[in-house]
Amino acid sequence: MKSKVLARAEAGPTIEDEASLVKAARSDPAAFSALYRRYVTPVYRYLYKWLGNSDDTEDLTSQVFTEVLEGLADYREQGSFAAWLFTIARRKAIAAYRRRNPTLPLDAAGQVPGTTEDPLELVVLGEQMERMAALFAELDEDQRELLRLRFTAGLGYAEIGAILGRSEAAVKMAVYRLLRQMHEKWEVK
Amino acid sequence: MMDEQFISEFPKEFSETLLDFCEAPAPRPDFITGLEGQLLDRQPVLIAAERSRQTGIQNRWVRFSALFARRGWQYAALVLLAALTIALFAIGPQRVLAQVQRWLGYVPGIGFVNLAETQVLASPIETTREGITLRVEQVIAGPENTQVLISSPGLSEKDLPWPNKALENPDFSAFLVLPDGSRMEMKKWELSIGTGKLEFPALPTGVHQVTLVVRGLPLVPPGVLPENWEIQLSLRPASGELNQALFPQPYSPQDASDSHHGITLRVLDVAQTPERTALHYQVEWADPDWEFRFGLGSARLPELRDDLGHIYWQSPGASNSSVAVVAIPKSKDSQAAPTPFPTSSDGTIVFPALSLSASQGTLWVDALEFQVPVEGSFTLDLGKNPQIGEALALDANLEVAGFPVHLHGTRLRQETVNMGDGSNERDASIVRTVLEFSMDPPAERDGFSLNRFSFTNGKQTIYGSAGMSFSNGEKVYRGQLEFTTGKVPAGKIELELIEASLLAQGPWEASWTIPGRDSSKAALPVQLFPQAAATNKPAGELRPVVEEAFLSDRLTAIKLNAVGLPPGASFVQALPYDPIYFDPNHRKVDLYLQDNWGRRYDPGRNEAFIRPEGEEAGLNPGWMFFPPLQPLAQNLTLHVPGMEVFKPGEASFDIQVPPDLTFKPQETTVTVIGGGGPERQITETMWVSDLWPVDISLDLAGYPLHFTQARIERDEQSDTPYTLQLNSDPFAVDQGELHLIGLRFAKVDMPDGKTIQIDPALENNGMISFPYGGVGPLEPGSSQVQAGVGLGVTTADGADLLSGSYHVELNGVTEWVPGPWELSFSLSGN
Repeated sequence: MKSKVLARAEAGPTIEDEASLVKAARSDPAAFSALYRRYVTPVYRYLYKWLGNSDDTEDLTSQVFTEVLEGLADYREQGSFAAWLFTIARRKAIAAYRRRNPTLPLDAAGQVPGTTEDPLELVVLGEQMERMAALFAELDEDQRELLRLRFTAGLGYAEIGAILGRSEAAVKMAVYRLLRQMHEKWEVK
Repeated sequence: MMDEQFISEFPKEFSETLLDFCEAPAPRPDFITGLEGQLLDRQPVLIAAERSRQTGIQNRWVRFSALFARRGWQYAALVLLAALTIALFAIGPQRVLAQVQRWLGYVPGIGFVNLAETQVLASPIETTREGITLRVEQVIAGPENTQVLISSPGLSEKDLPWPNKALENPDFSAFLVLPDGSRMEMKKWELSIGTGKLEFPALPTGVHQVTLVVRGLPLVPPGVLPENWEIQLSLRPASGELNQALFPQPYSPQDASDSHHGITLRVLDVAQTPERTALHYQVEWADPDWEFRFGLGSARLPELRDDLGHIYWQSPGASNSSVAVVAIPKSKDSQAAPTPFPTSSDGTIVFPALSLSASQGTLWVDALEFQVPVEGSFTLDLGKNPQIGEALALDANLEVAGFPVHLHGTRLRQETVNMGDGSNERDASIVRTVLEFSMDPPAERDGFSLNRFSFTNGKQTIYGSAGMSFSNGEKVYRGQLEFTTGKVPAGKIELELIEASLLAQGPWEASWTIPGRDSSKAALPVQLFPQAAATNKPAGELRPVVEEAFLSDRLTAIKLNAVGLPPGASFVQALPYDPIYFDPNHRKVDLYLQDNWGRRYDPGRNEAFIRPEGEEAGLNPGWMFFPPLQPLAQNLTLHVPGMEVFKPGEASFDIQVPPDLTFKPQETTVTVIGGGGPERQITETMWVSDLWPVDISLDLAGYPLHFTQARIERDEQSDTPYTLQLNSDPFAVDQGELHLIGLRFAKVDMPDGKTIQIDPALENNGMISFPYGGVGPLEPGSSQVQAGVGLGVTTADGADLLSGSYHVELNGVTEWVPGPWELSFSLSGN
């Protein structure tokens, strides 16, 4: 099996660095470009997890960054830019998902399996992914969103807390407890 | 801090699959570049527009600041005033109100709702089958969700078989069918017997008609009542006139706020209906790292008060609405730029209806709780070979959220916890291995106190929390550490703080003027002081008298006292029956009020009360509360079957509680009244020690008592599980005559050196559980009775039996004085 990254990189820019960048991005195209490049992939991935296809995801990613560009002047320099950005992305994702699937609960948001080239590994991985899909199916939407923000978008706990209106410690505990529950069921299954 | 990368602690197979599952593809490189170009093309236009806006603001501000050289807070007030003035001149004051209120409705059962872009039912719709009715009370179909309130009028828990399987497994099912035949599944629901609040996703644009399909009525077991209900719902866009006709119109009080320690409590909106008063409140604080713990108040319930002295507690019947999601219109700007860290939280709380004569309302809250971030760790040494039942020498000092904390007095134990209820109780018990300890009460600082905090070890196999809790009406500080694997490690364990909550001490009192009320024309409460209450007993005899009456549109309050009392004795309360001969199967209440038209008013049916003595806590049992009188009442008669009086006396005794007692289970049958079902008998297991003989003779207020037996009871579900029981030799009482019913205690000296002083005011209110002393018949209805004493004998940390010598002092008895009496008085004051 090929090696996997076991945790998303948390060592990004410091809050001070980012605050300067955000402030500069209001008037400096180069700063905005740097900010955009830093976040476009996590936002895209996060939205893809909601929408499940690249056409809709690209459309929504455009909308998110347009709103960010227009809202930068009013953005209050407190807390994390990523939290603000993903609050917008989350709101748009939920609205788009509802527009497209008015009769489906949010819990049915699409899942995307990983890829592998080894045929034998495909079979094993397929079984494991099915087991994981079954575990996800038992989660409620709030729990799925925690995992999306943490492991798909790669956000830090403080940022997730800001988006969901909870403290960093509470998010940390919630993610840990969720993983523990899932792991217990994983072992049983 | 806890390991940020803790997913690596799980087996690789699990963590890799999880990350694979959460993986999503990266965007195409040409998409990234293309979007970047579009955004950068747009940026200069936005920058130019923003500079123009900023210049305009700055110019205006320069003029303002040149005219008014003021301090910072005055600038802020000036800006707010200017903004308000501009708004008023632009659209007129009446229209400001209309703009705000047009889309804000209060929907009983749901809460304050933003009715913009919302469809509603113009009137309730119902259908009846086999004599059973299902009614859709209201539908609020908004941009966020579709909420449906259903009810089955007339259906009560008494109509259903019991135990109610549907209550234990509420597999309630309902869905909406759209015009194109597609189904919309329910997202969540709240059910009680006969009512339900169902939430579905938002309806697609253009859908005005849906069919609600309900498989079974809320909490009705399958096969009992008609099933598969279908009701067609025609929705109409919410509009100003329709809203006014359907929903009580809330108002926004001016300056209804109170601030302490940088925390503000505001009442944003008020909806008053004939049945209830709903408040939309907001709590605002400064620190973005803090999180408000939803729910107002700590040691005491939040209160709604009015200027007439009425006090209202949160309506139990409206509890569903008190947790309703509140949706208040927000401006487009605020949606475009959400505050990254919210520093305010709002909610809805529902009280009974305010008095029609009240011109001012006040929301009173004793404290507010916040979760705050914590960092740090501390070490506990469990020794080389920790054993269950062992007391460990712990003396740990740490700092939590700036508060010094001292932990001590540790004991390792296993406990059995019931996780279920009803018939599941026995199947759902689990055994937990826990370390219990005591904690010194943390000092209050700048209006804040440490409420609770939690911690874990690095591998997250040990969790603990400590802080304040209430036991027997008193604050206690203790903590518990749970070993989730059941295994207790030897040696030192490092524990990391996870989170803490602080209590901000108030009280907060947010007051407002109720619009449209003219206090000069209001019907004010009437206070009467009947000087010579007429009774059917001759004067000079020991008897109750009506000392004072308070009559309003929300309640009737009567204060009783007694005349003919012996020296030192005092009136306690009127009683509906002789407590020795209380029969739970025959609870006819003969203590009631009656007017001259024969209308009866039962005590305790009032929705408001008063604190006429100015007491902040507790209730004086001498005051009785009844519903408000009918307007035509001219005379009142209070029917009093008997009363309790206190008679002073002095006595004391010492009792030795032995260590190393063994306990055996004893099953008892308990009658459960309320709690989600009709009255029923359940079997409970109490752990008891063997009886041991004692010889305690007392002469208390003229009553000779001889206690001969003692034993300890252990109740695993209690915070103070160990109770000493003393039983006396039997003695005879005459049911129709004055006799002993209770023992009153002054203080208890405990073996650990502590002394418990008994506050007689609290004892009168029944707020002290231990010690207690009473009298009961040997057999139901028998005139042979036995005195008993219950004394709490649990260690301070709540973990174990506190053995040793107890010194108990008593200061009197209470007696049953049989009536009946009929106390009549005129409402004209004569």
